[in-house]
Amino acid sequence: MFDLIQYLVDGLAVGSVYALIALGYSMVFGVLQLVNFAHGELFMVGAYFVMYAISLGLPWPVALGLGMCFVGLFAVAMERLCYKPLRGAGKLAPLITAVGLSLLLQNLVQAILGPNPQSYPARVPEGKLSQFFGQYLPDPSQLQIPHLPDGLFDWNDLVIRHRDLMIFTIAVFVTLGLELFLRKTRPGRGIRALALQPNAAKLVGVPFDFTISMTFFIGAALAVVAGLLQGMADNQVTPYMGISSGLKAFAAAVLGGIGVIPGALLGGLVLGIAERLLVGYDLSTYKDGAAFFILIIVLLLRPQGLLGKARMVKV
Amino acid sequence: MTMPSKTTRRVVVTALSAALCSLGLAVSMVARAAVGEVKVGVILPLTGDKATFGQESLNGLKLALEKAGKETPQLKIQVEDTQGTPAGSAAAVNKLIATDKVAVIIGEVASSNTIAASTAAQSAKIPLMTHASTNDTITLGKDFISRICFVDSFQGAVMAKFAVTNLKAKTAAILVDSDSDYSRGLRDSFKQAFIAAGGTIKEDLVISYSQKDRDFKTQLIKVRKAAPDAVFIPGYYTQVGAILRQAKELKLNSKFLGTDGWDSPDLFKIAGAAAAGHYVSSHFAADDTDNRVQDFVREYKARNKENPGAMAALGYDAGFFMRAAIKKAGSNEPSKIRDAIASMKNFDGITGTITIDKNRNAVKPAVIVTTTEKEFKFLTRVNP
Amino acid sequence: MMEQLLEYSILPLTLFGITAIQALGLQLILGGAGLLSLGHAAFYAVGGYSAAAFTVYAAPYLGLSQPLLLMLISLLVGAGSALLAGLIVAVPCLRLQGDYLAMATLGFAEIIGTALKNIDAIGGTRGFTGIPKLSSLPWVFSVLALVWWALARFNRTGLGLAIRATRDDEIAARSLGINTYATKLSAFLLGSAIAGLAGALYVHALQFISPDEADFSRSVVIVLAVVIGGMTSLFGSVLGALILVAVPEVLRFAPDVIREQRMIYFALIVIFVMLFSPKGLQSLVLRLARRHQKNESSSLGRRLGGAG
Repeated sequence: MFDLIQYLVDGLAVGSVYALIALGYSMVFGVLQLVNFAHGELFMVGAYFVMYAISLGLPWPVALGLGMCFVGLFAVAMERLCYKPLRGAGKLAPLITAVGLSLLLQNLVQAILGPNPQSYPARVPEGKLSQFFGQYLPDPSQLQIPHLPDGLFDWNDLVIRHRDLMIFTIAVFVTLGLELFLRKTRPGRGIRALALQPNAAKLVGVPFDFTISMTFFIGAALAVVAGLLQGMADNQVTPYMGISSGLKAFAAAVLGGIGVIPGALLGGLVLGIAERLLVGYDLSTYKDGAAFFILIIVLLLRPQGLLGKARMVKV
Repeated sequence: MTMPSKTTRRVVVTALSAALCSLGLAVSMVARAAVGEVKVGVILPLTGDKATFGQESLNGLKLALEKAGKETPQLKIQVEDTQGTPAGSAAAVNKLIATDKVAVIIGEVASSNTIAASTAAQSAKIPLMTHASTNDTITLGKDFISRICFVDSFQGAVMAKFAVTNLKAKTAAILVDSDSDYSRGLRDSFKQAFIAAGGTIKEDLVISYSQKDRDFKTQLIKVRKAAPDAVFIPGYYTQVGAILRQAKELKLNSKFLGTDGWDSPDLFKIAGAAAAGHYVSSHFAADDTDNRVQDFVREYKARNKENPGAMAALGYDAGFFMRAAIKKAGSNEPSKIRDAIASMKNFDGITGTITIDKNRNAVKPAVIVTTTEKEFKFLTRVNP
Repeated sequence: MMEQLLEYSILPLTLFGITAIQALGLQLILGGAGLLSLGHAAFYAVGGYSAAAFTVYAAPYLGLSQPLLLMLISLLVGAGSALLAGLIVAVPCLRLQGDYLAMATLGFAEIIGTALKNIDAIGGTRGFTGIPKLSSLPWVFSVLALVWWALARFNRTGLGLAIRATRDDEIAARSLGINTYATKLSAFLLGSAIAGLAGALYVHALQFISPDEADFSRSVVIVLAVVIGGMTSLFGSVLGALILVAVPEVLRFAPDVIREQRMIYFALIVIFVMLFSPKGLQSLVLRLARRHQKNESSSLGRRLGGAG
């Protein structure tokens, strides 16, 4: 019995990271009906950026802030250059472009920072870049690497890591913050208007392009937060972390109801917990399929997702 | 003139394009090996989560070939990156055999990858010699496949006996990488030997994880609850590093035992302070006082700016061993090279004296090392 | 020299042929029926694994050893099992529309991948090894030609036309009495069976297969092939497959600087093709050809005073 509770709690942290990434998928799909398959890569780039920024000696809030701005603006550029020209060219073209972008980012990071997993303090592989980087590197022994708290709530039968609770709390606050932003602020309401009724939104003066760019920016920024948390929790980043977490986060978004913000959080948590349950009951080899199995069930029984609203298709 | 039908036109266009592509591919022609020169294929994980193994092996191999200098036979190596996956290994071998026409192949590192590569090599009758794959089944029934390292039935037994005799362990748990033939083979040989030496391993303390996992809390909590004397983790450094770190975080106090999959400098980077105080079986230790080992360590360090690990040492031995075998064969014909490898006796490598037995496996000693926060330290040698 | 050239290109050409067959199968589903199927590689993997399981386990038991016969039967096994898998996926998924169909097919593909990883008899995550070498370049190209020809003829049959009618306007098609569910299902099943053929050819050429072959990333490659070439025609898919295999291969031999980054250049090429020619390269080529034709024949046309 205690085992079940243990797995439920264990799943919260993993699920929270999925949730933070899922928010980006959800928002972009809400306004553009586009699944940005490159979003997972934004998570990866964010994780790398933050790890390297901290390894250069920057305090983590600065690294995080810079990362959010950098990756956020990068996402906006991506949207302007690659998705905007394809508006109206059907569903496939932007999808393929997204895949191309995803490949591009993975290989760029691999080429510049090396294909192997990196841990704190991050290093750059031998080459011209490492010399540039090298001059700014602080003395490793002086480097204060931020850690997530490593305490435990230890009741022998139930062990909860402080860091898991912290990640969960952050995710909850971020989701609440985002939901508040979308409901109470003007730009936020603009995003919601666009998602509901693009033409009416344009009529009442919602700035179309700017709002879409803002959506991409916010989604990317949240993914960077996820990247920071995962990088610190695992002490590892790899160029492939975007594909593995990204696809599952996408499933989480659909599961919770794509386009619905609390749905992304719920979906992420459900997924995280499901994975932990499988590992706990010694079925860990089925872990990767779990996300999609749940996804299919939901799609067949309730296509709009757990918290989504059903769409009526007029004939 | 009548136009050929649309379909015909298109088939012709495609065929022409394909032909053009082949010409494009041939732009950089790989020369046929000259006499006195033998083309040797090398398949290694140069990227991916076992990359340090591949890179170290290649560094060791290159050092050996450099030292051999201009003497014949000259080994011309063609290196392919397997990305550390079975699929990548199979593809790499296919390319080396079909396109580069190598006479013999060295590699891979991970047993699952070598197994994947060996079918193609065996059916094409090209000898494949692995310097680092220890799973017993690799050479079974495949007479073109051989190795210069010890096998897991030996390695598992070594660690089991060490646990019982030196660490006085009576109970143990095993954390096995279910994606790896290497890990699974070691699980079996350790379990068998540990129980035969009088220890107990409960069924539910043989716990699996996957190479894709990053969080091992669920598995570690189970181990913690049972509090065995020893925990055997025959996995690869990327996962083991994370496991050690998380185990320390969870205040798990059992002694950890490892195998040659741990042998990478990255283990210490990932695990941090948690890396210290464990026991690992391997092929080589950089602080071994033997003169030849120290010479090798010095030369390697001068060239690559870091201490060599077991993989580097094995790569080095592979280079010299292969040269000796080819010299003995007196030809660059694959089947003659195969025969020569299979009959090598008492080759003096820096990872030990190597004699190839009738199963084409190497009979040689294992080394047990301990870990500090930063490196491996030689503890003892165990002879077969 | 010719001999060396040929030896050199055998492996890439074989891979091109296999990719082209998969692309043709997907073209029927994606371009022909307009179904956004993102899990096509799973059928390919199922076909490959079944064919391999047949030759490794069943054939010795049945006492079969003639390579030609073995290969033919394993092709059938591959196609059949892929068709079955396609049925299992299609029945629930075809009820869904557009994006949801895409997500569901993706989900099923990942589930199939996970299932393959868990069957120890076929190697699990370590992959299936020990497969005999039964197929080769001639086999691959023969099957490719056959499939191409067969699909070209199929597209002109009643069912083929019905499939395209359903894609163009499902409601109108239904009002004409076409059973749109049946047509979509047929397209899906046929497409998956073709993928199964490709899988059977693959395992017997490379003598190895791993569950990664069912991955989303592999499905994406096939979608890329179909879309980049031009998804409305069979030729487009083959062209796309050629580009997808040829470009990284050719780049492999470029000077070292480019070589290391060849995947980056490849990704850039994909992005640029999409931005400048969303309907695929084939339409780009046609557009250029038409423009050239127009320039040439416009004066002639005026002189002849008729249709150009």
